[in-house]
Amino acid sequence: MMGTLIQDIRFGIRMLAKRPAFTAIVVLVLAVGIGANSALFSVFKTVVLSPLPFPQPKQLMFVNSTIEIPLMDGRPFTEHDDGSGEPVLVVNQAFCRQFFPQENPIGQQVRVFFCGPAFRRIVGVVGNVRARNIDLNQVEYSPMMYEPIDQTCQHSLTTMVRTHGDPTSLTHALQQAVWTLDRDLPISQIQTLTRTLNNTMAIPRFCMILLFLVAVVALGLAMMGLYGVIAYAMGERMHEIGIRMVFGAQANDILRLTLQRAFVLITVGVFTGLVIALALGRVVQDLLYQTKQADPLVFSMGVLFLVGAGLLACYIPARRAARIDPMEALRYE
Amino acid sequence: MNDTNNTLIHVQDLQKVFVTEEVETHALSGVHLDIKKGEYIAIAGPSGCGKSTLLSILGLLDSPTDGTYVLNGTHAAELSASQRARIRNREVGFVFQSFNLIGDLTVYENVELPLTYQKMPKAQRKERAHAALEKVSMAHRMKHYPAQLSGGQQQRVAVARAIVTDPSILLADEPTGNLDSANGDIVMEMLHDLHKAGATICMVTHDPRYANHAQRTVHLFDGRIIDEKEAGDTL
Repeated sequence: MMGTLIQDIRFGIRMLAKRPAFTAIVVLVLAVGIGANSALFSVFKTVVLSPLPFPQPKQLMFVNSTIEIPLMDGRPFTEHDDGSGEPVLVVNQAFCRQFFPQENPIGQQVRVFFCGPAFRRIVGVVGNVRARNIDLNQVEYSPMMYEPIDQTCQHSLTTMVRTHGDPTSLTHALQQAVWTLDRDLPISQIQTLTRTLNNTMAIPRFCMILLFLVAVVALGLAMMGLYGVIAYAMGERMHEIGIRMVFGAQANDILRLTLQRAFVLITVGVFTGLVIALALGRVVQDLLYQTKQADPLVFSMGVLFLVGAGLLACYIPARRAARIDPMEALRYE
Repeated sequence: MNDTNNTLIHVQDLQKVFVTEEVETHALSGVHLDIKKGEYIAIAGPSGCGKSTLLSILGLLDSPTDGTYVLNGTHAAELSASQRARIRNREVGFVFQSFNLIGDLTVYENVELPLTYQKMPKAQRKERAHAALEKVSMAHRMKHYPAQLSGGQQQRVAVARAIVTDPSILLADEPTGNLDSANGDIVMEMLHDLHKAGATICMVTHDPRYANHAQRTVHLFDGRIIDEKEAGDTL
């Protein structure tokens, strides 16, 4: 059995080597298919398996007691950090890593330019967050400084509110709460965190959808192409199948032989396709947040899917060939 | 044929009708034929008389529309497709006019092919294939591909492939049809030697010169046997 298998595989390789144009077409089709498939599964994994492209969306905004940025060292702001108190700052870990790599940042004074040059004392260190937007290509966190609301000279302020129910139902109540403090305060927009996130992700998401559609089309073409070339190859080998049947090959023998040859072809195509998929993976990596260039899960899904699809594409013409009348097969030239 | 124990092939009232969209063609009409073990028989006749159709049925490659065909005691009508394939593999050797060698296999692999379908161990396959190639004097070309051989050599390889399983009967369909006279004679000589060694041979030919090599010649015309003669008889 093993000897026959090896002989069939050797024969398959020899057959492919003798028909370089055919082999090249199949390998190319498979390569495009694997590449497209990997891209497709990258998108699938990101969009479906990880619905939000950020693992901890709670960390997107900063309001100390609301969003729960962890305090790593020192203290948070208190009611004493008002306009009459000492100007203070809370910084994040990235800030400490960049400016105080060897020192304890707590108690250090830094010169800032929020409202003109002034010194402020660092009183606390908090964890890193992505506060303004999701920079898809950003690997490192940016250094951040936070100032107490009563010590800021900013002309605009974003306020975060944690709700227990549907946040949109509180829009009116929030407006009233703000205007209770100052009737003349303009409110530019009130929107949910999800909406903010969606706005940030709109362009990358559009690219993802485009990529997904292109990948689906490429995969469909690869499948059709694979089926076409295998069916063509089967037609070309029909005479040989007839000879084998004359000399005792049964339907199962023909089916096995055909699938083994296809497997050799698909294996060659898959290896070539993986190289292309790696190259495509770099493109996907740039488009999708937290997507690795060579994600084993994505590659496994892509390869398994296409190998399965390829074998299925071979199985249909192989099954038809296995059932052909030997005399009819012999007449093929 | 009265000696039923010695009968390898028994054909009675064999009919074969090909039906196309509008036309019914009677390829064989009421053919009766018995072939004894060890016999060398030629089926002769003009093109389109049904010779090859008869040979296909005898080789279990085709089925009759009606009639009885018994091969070595087995009724062909009762066989499934896989049983027919198994019997073809073990009981029948084929030699075709166009050689029908597989171009992607070497000479050795072509000859070995029928044995692989018997699940025979590799060592035994090798021994049998070598012996068959020795018989047709082609052992020295066993690593060559068919395209590297002359027509005569290819037909000798085809004969080796046909006899490698030691079949009960060798069916040869115009084995000299694609060969020049010198190579044709060599192949005929080879069949003659095989027969002398005990092989049963049924050969289709339209060439009376080659038909005379057989012990008995059956003449077909329009799907019917119109004449039978033993070697040495005159028409």
